[in-house]
Amino acid sequence: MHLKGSTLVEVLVSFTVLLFCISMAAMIFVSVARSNGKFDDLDAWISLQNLAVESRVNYDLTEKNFDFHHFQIQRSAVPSSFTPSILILEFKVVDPDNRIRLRYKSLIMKDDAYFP
Amino acid sequence: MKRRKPERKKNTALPGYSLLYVLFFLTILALIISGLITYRFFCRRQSLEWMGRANIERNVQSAITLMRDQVYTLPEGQPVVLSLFNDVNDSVTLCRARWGFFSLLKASARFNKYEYSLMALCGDYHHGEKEAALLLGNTFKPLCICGNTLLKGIFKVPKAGIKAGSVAGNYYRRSLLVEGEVIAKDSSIPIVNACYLHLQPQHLLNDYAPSSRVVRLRTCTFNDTLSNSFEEPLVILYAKDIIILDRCVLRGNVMVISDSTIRVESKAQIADAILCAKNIFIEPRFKGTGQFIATDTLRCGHSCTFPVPSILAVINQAVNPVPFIYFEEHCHIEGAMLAWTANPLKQYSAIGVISEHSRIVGSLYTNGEISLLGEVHGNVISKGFILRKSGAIYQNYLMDAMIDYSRQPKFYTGISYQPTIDHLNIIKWLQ
Repeated sequence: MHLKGSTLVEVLVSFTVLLFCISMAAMIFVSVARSNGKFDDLDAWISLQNLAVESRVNYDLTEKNFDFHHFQIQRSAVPSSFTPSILILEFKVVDPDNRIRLRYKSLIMKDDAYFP
Repeated sequence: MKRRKPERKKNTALPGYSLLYVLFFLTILALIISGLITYRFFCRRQSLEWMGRANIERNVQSAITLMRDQVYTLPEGQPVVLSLFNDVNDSVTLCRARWGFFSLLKASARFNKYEYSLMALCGDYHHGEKEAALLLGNTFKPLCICGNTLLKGIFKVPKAGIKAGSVAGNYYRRSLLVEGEVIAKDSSIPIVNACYLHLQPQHLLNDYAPSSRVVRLRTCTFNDTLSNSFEEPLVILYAKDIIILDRCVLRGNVMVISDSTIRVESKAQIADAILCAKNIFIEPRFKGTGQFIATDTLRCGHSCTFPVPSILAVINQAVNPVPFIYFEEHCHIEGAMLAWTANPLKQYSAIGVISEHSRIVGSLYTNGEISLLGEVHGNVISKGFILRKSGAIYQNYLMDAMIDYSRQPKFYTGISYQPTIDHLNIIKWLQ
């Protein structure tokens, strides 16, 4: 049994198109996931989270923003509606494209935070 | 003329099985790509799960921080669901309750099937540089110190002040009367927090019994194991007569109440429990944490150890009998000791004895006069001191005693004897 060469070319072209479509779908899927603020790499996310938690523990708001590799961690403390001595500490992890990748909020005691 | 041979047409057809190879190869490629997409999908799911978990753990921590602020009012012992930041998935359940002298903070949250909760035992007193080492009631007599007595810190004493004296030829031997500051001020000692006076056997039973499991002991000796988490309902061991805790294990959310006497043997293992009775006798060399509350007599045998957080208290509201707390030699407590009586004692009678070589790391409060012969690494609030030596009674005397506030650990958290709105400090995380 033999096939014509043109038939093979058609098959190859159609499969290449199919492959291209699958690749595009995968890329769109990944980019949508990224735009939702999720990291591709779980390890990177965990290490950033640890860093963020570490910076929260210190409560040192002298240096509000600092860089971590290509990311910037921005911190701020605002009064809460609960009591005057409770603050809302918020910090964001911003990527080089200025997109917020992570946003944390937690409550701290005013006495525990250090203000210059 | 030569006749050209017609060109033979080239055969470009491929064998049929080549297509099968191509199909097979492309199928493998498609499988790999779909596998990668599936992997990415599960990674993302896992990331969301991790982030959700981390989020609720942080929210539960925030809830504990919020409850530490006593200005934020919560119904006592009743769970409240609260949205912390008015965002999605930031609801937490808060509960603030009393556990004897301490406050118990509980917070929990849920994300999908993952539930996270924290519980903390808190006190409303914490070490501060400006706290007084001694607050002495006005007895119109100076505080006389003799022997090797050491006073270090801020001392708020009556205007009569502090002076060196001697008892049975034992003169004051140090160069300085006080290593620190003396503030002369005629004032009475602060009135104790009213909620502590409620810690009586019958009151505790009436308050807690409706929401707890009450076990009425039929035999006087209890030598079983009872470990109850603070997430579970309270278990009360109750008897009208004597309870002997011998070779038993009592841990966690457990209360032992007797209308008569509780005797704690040295082999008993007690952690975080509350013991409340008319009389409590603790055998020598016992070691354990808890709150030991007597209404009449509390006696600790020699060489007992009470690690942090522990409370030894005598709270007497009746005219008779006369309350007494006896802390024998080589005993050691990290926590608070309290001796309170509603009715004033007879003149020259002490409400308790802190024996030689015994040590309190924390605080001591009494509204009577106490015989202090040991060491207090912390602060003392007392109406006065009584010293019995060589058949004589000396009022407002200290001999070979120590009150040193600088030795109280900087991270120490205990109980405030007065109502306060200071924020609560965590003494211990509970399981």
